[in-house]
Amino acid sequence: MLNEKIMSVFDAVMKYLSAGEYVVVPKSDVREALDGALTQSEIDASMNALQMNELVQIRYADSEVYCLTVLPKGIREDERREEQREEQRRKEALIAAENERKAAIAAAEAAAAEAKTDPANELDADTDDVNSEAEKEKSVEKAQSTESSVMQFNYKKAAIICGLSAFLGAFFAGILTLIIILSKVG
Amino acid sequence: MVLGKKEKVLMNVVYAAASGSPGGQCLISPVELLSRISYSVDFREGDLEETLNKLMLDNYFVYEKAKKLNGDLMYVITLKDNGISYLRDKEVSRRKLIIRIALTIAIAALSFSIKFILEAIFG
Repeated sequence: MLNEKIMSVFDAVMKYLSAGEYVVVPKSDVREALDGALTQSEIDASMNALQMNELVQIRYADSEVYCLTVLPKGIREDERREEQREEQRRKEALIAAENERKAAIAAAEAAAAEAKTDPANELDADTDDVNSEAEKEKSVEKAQSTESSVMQFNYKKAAIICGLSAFLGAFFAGILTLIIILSKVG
Repeated sequence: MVLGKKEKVLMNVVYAAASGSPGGQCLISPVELLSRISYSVDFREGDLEETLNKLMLDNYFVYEKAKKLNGDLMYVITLKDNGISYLRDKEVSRRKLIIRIALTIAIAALSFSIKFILEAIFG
Protein backbone atom coordinates (compact mmCIF):
# COMPACT_ATOMS: atom_id res chain seq x y z
CA MET A 1 0.00 0.00 0.00
CA LEU A 2 1.03 3.60 -0.51
CA ASN A 3 2.81 5.43 2.32
CA GLU A 4 1.84 8.78 3.85
CA LYS A 5 4.44 10.65 1.82
CA ILE A 6 2.88 9.52 -1.45
CA MET A 7 -0.66 10.14 -0.18
CA SER A 8 0.29 13.67 0.89
CA VAL A 9 1.28 14.33 -2.75
CA PHE A 10 -2.06 12.80 -3.80
CA ASP A 11 -3.95 15.15 -1.44
CA ALA A 12 -1.96 18.11 -2.77
CA VAL A 13 -2.78 17.44 -6.44
CA MET A 14 -6.41 16.43 -5.85
CA LYS A 15 -7.24 20.07 -5.09
CA TYR A 16 -6.75 20.84 -8.77
CA LEU A 17 -8.18 17.73 -10.41
CA SER A 18 -11.66 16.72 -11.51
CA ALA A 19 -12.87 13.56 -13.16
CA GLY A 20 -12.93 13.29 -16.94
CA GLU A 21 -10.60 16.15 -17.83
CA TYR A 22 -6.89 16.70 -18.00
CA VAL A 23 -5.49 19.58 -15.99
CA VAL A 24 -2.09 21.25 -16.36
CA VAL A 25 -0.65 21.62 -12.85
CA PRO A 26 2.61 23.54 -12.35
CA LYS A 27 5.18 21.62 -10.29
CA SER A 28 5.84 24.76 -8.21
CA ASP A 29 2.20 24.76 -7.03
CA VAL A 30 2.52 21.16 -5.85
CA ARG A 31 5.73 22.01 -3.97
CA GLU A 32 4.05 24.99 -2.33
CA ALA A 33 1.05 22.90 -1.30
CA LEU A 34 3.43 20.48 0.45
CA ASP A 35 5.22 23.37 2.23
CA GLY A 36 8.58 22.18 0.92
CA ALA A 37 8.33 18.90 2.86
CA LEU A 38 9.44 16.92 -0.21
CA THR A 39 12.04 17.51 -2.90
CA GLN A 40 11.05 17.63 -6.57
CA SER A 41 12.51 14.18 -7.25
CA GLU A 42 10.52 12.73 -4.33
CA ILE A 43 7.37 14.37 -5.69
CA ASP A 44 8.07 12.93 -9.18
CA ALA A 45 8.62 9.45 -7.70
CA SER A 46 5.36 9.77 -5.72
CA MET A 47 3.48 10.81 -8.85
CA ASN A 48 4.81 7.73 -10.68
CA ALA A 49 3.71 5.56 -7.77
CA LEU A 50 0.23 7.12 -7.90
CA GLN A 51 0.08 6.42 -11.63
CA MET A 52 1.20 2.82 -11.18
CA ASN A 53 -1.52 2.34 -8.59
CA GLU A 54 -4.10 3.74 -11.04
CA LEU A 55 -5.08 6.70 -8.88
CA VAL A 56 -4.06 9.29 -11.46
CA GLN A 57 -3.02 9.23 -15.11
CA ILE A 58 -0.17 11.49 -16.18
CA ARG A 59 -0.50 12.42 -19.84
CA TYR A 60 2.51 14.71 -20.04
CA ALA A 61 5.28 15.82 -17.72
CA ASP A 62 8.28 18.06 -18.18
CA SER A 63 10.50 20.11 -15.88
CA GLU A 64 7.74 22.62 -15.13
CA VAL A 65 4.30 21.04 -15.30
CA TYR A 66 2.28 17.87 -15.01
CA CYS A 67 -0.72 17.26 -17.25
CA LEU A 68 -2.87 14.71 -15.47
CA THR A 69 -6.31 13.51 -14.58
CA VAL A 70 -7.79 11.55 -11.70
CA LEU A 71 -9.02 8.03 -12.35
CA PRO A 72 -12.16 6.48 -10.76
CA LYS A 73 -10.04 4.60 -8.22
CA GLY A 74 -8.44 7.92 -7.23
CA ILE A 75 -11.84 9.54 -6.77
CA ARG A 76 -12.94 6.70 -4.47
CA GLU A 77 -9.71 6.97 -2.48
CA ASP A 78 -10.12 10.73 -2.14
CA GLU A 79 -13.69 10.31 -0.86
CA ARG A 80 -12.55 7.69 1.62
CA ARG A 81 -9.81 9.96 2.93
CA GLU A 82 -12.25 12.89 3.20
CA GLU A 83 -14.62 10.72 5.28
CA GLN A 84 -11.74 9.73 7.55
CA ARG A 85 -10.79 13.39 8.06
CA GLU A 86 -14.43 14.29 8.83
CA GLU A 87 -14.63 11.45 11.37
CA GLN A 88 -11.44 12.66 13.02
CA ARG A 89 -12.79 16.23 13.24
CA ARG A 90 -16.03 14.98 14.83
CA LYS A 91 -14.11 12.94 17.42
CA GLU A 92 -11.95 15.93 18.31
CA ALA A 93 -15.03 18.14 18.75
CA LEU A 94 -16.61 15.56 21.11
CA ILE A 95 -13.41 15.28 23.12
CA ALA A 96 -13.20 19.08 23.43
CA ALA A 97 -16.84 19.28 24.62
CA GLU A 98 -16.19 16.53 27.17
CA ASN A 99 -13.09 18.32 28.47
CA GLU A 100 -15.04 21.55 28.79
CA ARG A 101 -17.74 19.80 30.82
CA LYS A 102 -15.16 18.24 33.12
CA ALA A 103 -13.40 21.58 33.60
CA ALA A 104 -16.72 23.27 34.49
CA ILE A 105 -17.49 20.58 37.09
CA ALA A 106 -13.99 20.83 38.58
CA ALA A 107 -14.23 24.63 38.78
CA ALA A 108 -17.60 24.42 40.56
CA GLU A 109 -16.25 21.83 43.02
CA ALA A 110 -13.16 23.94 43.73
CA ALA A 111 -15.29 27.03 44.40
CA ALA A 112 -17.52 25.01 46.77
CA ALA A 113 -14.50 23.57 48.61
CA GLU A 114 -12.94 27.02 48.99
CA ALA A 115 -16.13 28.48 50.41
CA LYS A 116 -16.39 25.59 52.94
CA THR A 117 -12.82 25.84 54.30
CA ASP A 118 -12.81 29.68 54.75
CA PRO A 119 -13.40 30.49 58.58
CA ALA A 120 -14.36 34.18 58.14
CA ASN A 121 -17.33 33.19 56.04
CA GLU A 122 -18.60 30.41 58.36
CA LEU A 123 -21.94 32.14 58.98
CA ASP A 124 -22.60 32.38 55.26
CA ALA A 125 -21.33 28.85 54.69
CA ASP A 126 -24.85 27.38 54.42
CA THR A 127 -26.11 29.89 51.87
CA ASP A 128 -22.86 29.64 50.00
CA ASP A 129 -23.18 25.87 50.03
CA VAL A 130 -26.65 26.08 48.56
CA ASN A 131 -25.51 28.61 45.95
CA SER A 132 -22.48 26.57 44.99
CA GLU A 133 -24.60 23.42 44.74
CA ALA A 134 -26.99 25.25 42.47
CA GLU A 135 -24.11 26.57 40.39
CA LYS A 136 -22.58 23.14 40.20
CA GLU A 137 -25.86 21.65 39.04
CA LYS A 138 -26.29 24.43 36.50
CA SER A 139 -22.83 23.91 35.03
CA VAL A 140 -23.36 20.15 34.89
CA GLU A 141 -26.73 20.65 33.22
CA LYS A 142 -25.27 23.12 30.73
CA ALA A 143 -22.50 20.71 29.84
CA GLN A 144 -25.01 17.85 29.51
CA SER A 145 -27.36 19.92 27.37
CA THR A 146 -24.60 20.95 24.98
CA GLU A 147 -23.58 17.32 24.84
CA SER A 148 -27.13 16.16 24.20
CA SER A 149 -27.67 18.83 21.56
CA VAL A 150 -24.48 17.74 19.91
CA MET A 151 -25.32 14.05 20.33
CA GLN A 152 -29.12 13.44 20.00
CA PHE A 153 -32.10 14.23 17.88
CA ASN A 154 -35.37 13.90 19.89
CA TYR A 155 -37.17 11.22 17.89
CA LYS A 156 -40.03 10.89 20.44
CA LYS A 157 -40.96 14.57 20.16
CA ALA A 158 -40.80 14.46 16.40
CA ALA A 159 -43.05 11.37 16.30
CA ILE A 160 -45.65 13.01 18.59
CA ILE A 161 -45.73 16.17 16.48
CA CYS A 162 -46.11 14.17 13.23
CA GLY A 163 -48.95 12.02 14.74
CA LEU A 164 -50.81 15.02 16.12
CA SER A 165 -50.56 16.94 12.83
CA ALA A 166 -51.88 13.91 10.88
CA PHE A 167 -54.82 13.49 13.29
CA LEU A 168 -55.76 17.19 13.19
CA GLY A 169 -55.49 17.28 9.41
CA ALA A 170 -57.79 14.24 9.01
CA PHE A 171 -60.22 15.66 11.62
CA PHE A 172 -60.65 18.97 9.82
CA ALA A 173 -60.94 17.22 6.44
CA GLY A 174 -63.78 15.09 7.90
CA ILE A 175 -65.60 18.15 9.30
CA LEU A 176 -65.34 19.92 5.94
CA THR A 177 -66.70 16.89 4.08
CA LEU A 178 -69.64 16.67 6.52
CA ILE A 179 -70.48 20.34 6.04
CA ILE A 180 -70.42 19.96 2.24
CA ILE A 181 -72.65 16.84 2.33
CA LEU A 182 -75.14 18.48 4.73
CA SER A 183 -75.32 21.62 2.59
CA LYS A 184 -76.01 19.52 -0.57
CA VAL A 185 -78.64 17.37 1.19
CA GLY A 186 -80.25 20.43 2.78
CA MET B 1 0.36 9.94 -47.46
CA VAL B 2 -0.50 12.97 -49.52
CA LEU B 3 -1.29 15.92 -47.29
CA GLY B 4 -3.15 19.09 -48.21
CA LYS B 5 -1.53 22.52 -47.80
CA LYS B 6 -3.07 23.29 -44.39
CA GLU B 7 -2.28 19.82 -43.12
CA LYS B 8 1.33 20.12 -44.25
CA VAL B 9 1.75 23.50 -42.58
CA LEU B 10 0.21 22.34 -39.31
CA MET B 11 2.14 19.09 -39.33
CA ASN B 12 5.39 21.05 -39.77
CA VAL B 13 4.57 23.12 -36.68
CA VAL B 14 3.52 20.09 -34.60
CA TYR B 15 6.61 18.11 -35.64
CA ALA B 16 8.92 21.00 -34.77
CA ALA B 17 7.28 21.32 -31.32
CA ALA B 18 7.07 17.61 -30.46
CA SER B 19 10.13 16.02 -32.06
CA GLY B 20 12.48 17.70 -29.56
CA SER B 21 11.19 15.77 -26.54
CA PRO B 22 12.13 12.11 -25.91
CA GLY B 23 8.55 10.79 -25.96
CA GLY B 24 7.58 12.79 -29.05
CA GLN B 25 5.20 14.85 -26.91
CA CYS B 26 4.44 18.51 -26.53
CA LEU B 27 2.06 20.69 -24.53
CA ILE B 28 1.02 23.63 -26.63
CA SER B 29 -1.79 26.16 -26.71
CA PRO B 30 -3.96 26.81 -29.79
CA VAL B 31 -2.69 30.39 -29.89
CA GLU B 32 0.90 29.21 -30.00
CA LEU B 33 0.15 26.74 -32.81
CA LEU B 34 -1.52 29.46 -34.87
CA SER B 35 1.25 31.96 -34.19
CA ARG B 36 3.81 29.57 -35.65
CA ILE B 37 1.93 29.29 -38.96
CA SER B 38 3.09 31.81 -41.53
CA TYR B 39 0.66 34.54 -42.65
CA SER B 40 1.07 33.50 -46.28
CA VAL B 41 -1.13 30.48 -45.55
CA ASP B 42 -4.84 31.17 -45.08
CA PHE B 43 -5.26 29.26 -41.82
CA ARG B 44 -8.12 30.30 -39.54
CA GLU B 45 -8.79 29.47 -35.91
CA GLY B 46 -11.78 27.36 -36.94
CA ASP B 47 -9.57 25.23 -39.22
CA LEU B 48 -7.32 24.21 -36.36
CA GLU B 49 -9.33 21.42 -34.77
CA GLU B 50 -10.58 20.13 -38.11
CA THR B 51 -7.00 19.82 -39.40
CA LEU B 52 -5.79 18.29 -36.13
CA ASN B 53 -8.54 15.66 -36.38
CA LYS B 54 -7.62 14.85 -40.00
CA LEU B 55 -3.97 14.37 -39.08
CA MET B 56 -5.00 12.26 -36.10
CA LEU B 57 -7.09 10.02 -38.36
CA ASP B 58 -4.08 9.60 -40.65
CA ASN B 59 -2.11 8.34 -37.64
CA TYR B 60 0.37 11.21 -37.45
CA PHE B 61 -0.33 11.91 -33.78
CA VAL B 62 -2.95 11.77 -31.05
CA TYR B 63 -3.99 14.82 -29.12
CA GLU B 64 -5.89 15.46 -25.90
CA LYS B 65 -7.39 18.68 -24.64
CA ALA B 66 -6.29 19.87 -21.23
CA LYS B 67 -7.11 22.87 -19.09
CA LYS B 68 -4.68 25.14 -17.29
CA LEU B 69 -5.55 26.27 -13.78
CA ASN B 70 -6.75 29.62 -15.16
CA GLY B 71 -9.09 27.81 -17.58
CA ASP B 72 -7.03 28.25 -20.78
CA LEU B 73 -7.17 25.40 -23.29
CA MET B 74 -4.02 23.41 -24.08
CA TYR B 75 -3.32 20.49 -26.42
CA VAL B 76 -1.21 17.53 -25.39
CA ILE B 77 0.12 16.09 -28.66
CA THR B 78 1.91 12.74 -28.89
CA LEU B 79 3.48 11.75 -32.21
CA LYS B 80 2.58 8.36 -33.63
CA ASP B 81 4.44 6.25 -36.24
CA ASN B 82 3.65 8.40 -39.26
CA GLY B 83 4.39 11.56 -37.30
CA ILE B 84 7.75 10.35 -36.04
CA SER B 85 8.80 9.44 -39.58
CA TYR B 86 7.26 12.61 -41.06
CA LEU B 87 10.55 14.38 -41.80
CA ARG B 88 12.16 11.23 -43.18
CA ASP B 89 9.08 10.57 -45.35
CA LYS B 90 9.24 14.15 -46.60
CA GLU B 91 12.89 13.78 -47.66
CA VAL B 92 12.22 10.42 -49.28
CA SER B 93 9.29 11.75 -51.27
CA ARG B 94 11.32 14.81 -52.35
CA ARG B 95 14.14 12.54 -53.52
CA LYS B 96 11.65 10.37 -55.41
CA LEU B 97 10.18 13.47 -57.04
CA ILE B 98 13.62 14.70 -58.14
CA ILE B 99 14.48 11.28 -59.55
CA ARG B 100 11.14 11.12 -61.42
CA ILE B 101 11.64 14.58 -62.87
CA ALA B 102 15.23 13.76 -63.90
CA LEU B 103 14.08 10.49 -65.50
CA THR B 104 11.31 12.28 -67.35
CA ILE B 105 13.74 14.90 -68.69
CA ALA B 106 16.20 12.17 -69.69
CA ILE B 107 13.53 10.17 -71.53
CA ALA B 108 12.27 13.34 -73.25
CA ALA B 109 15.83 14.22 -74.30
CA LEU B 110 16.42 10.64 -75.54
CA SER B 111 13.14 10.68 -77.50
CA PHE B 112 14.16 14.00 -79.08
CA SER B 113 17.64 12.76 -79.98
CA ILE B 114 16.48 9.41 -81.50
CA LYS B 115 15.74 11.22 -84.76
CA PHE B 116 19.38 12.45 -85.02
CA ILE B 117 20.74 9.04 -84.00
CA LEU B 118 18.71 7.29 -86.71
CA GLU B 119 19.81 9.89 -89.27
CA ALA B 120 23.42 9.29 -88.27
CA ILE B 121 23.05 5.48 -88.63
CA PHE B 122 21.06 5.33 -91.86
CA GLY B 123 22.33 8.57 -93.41
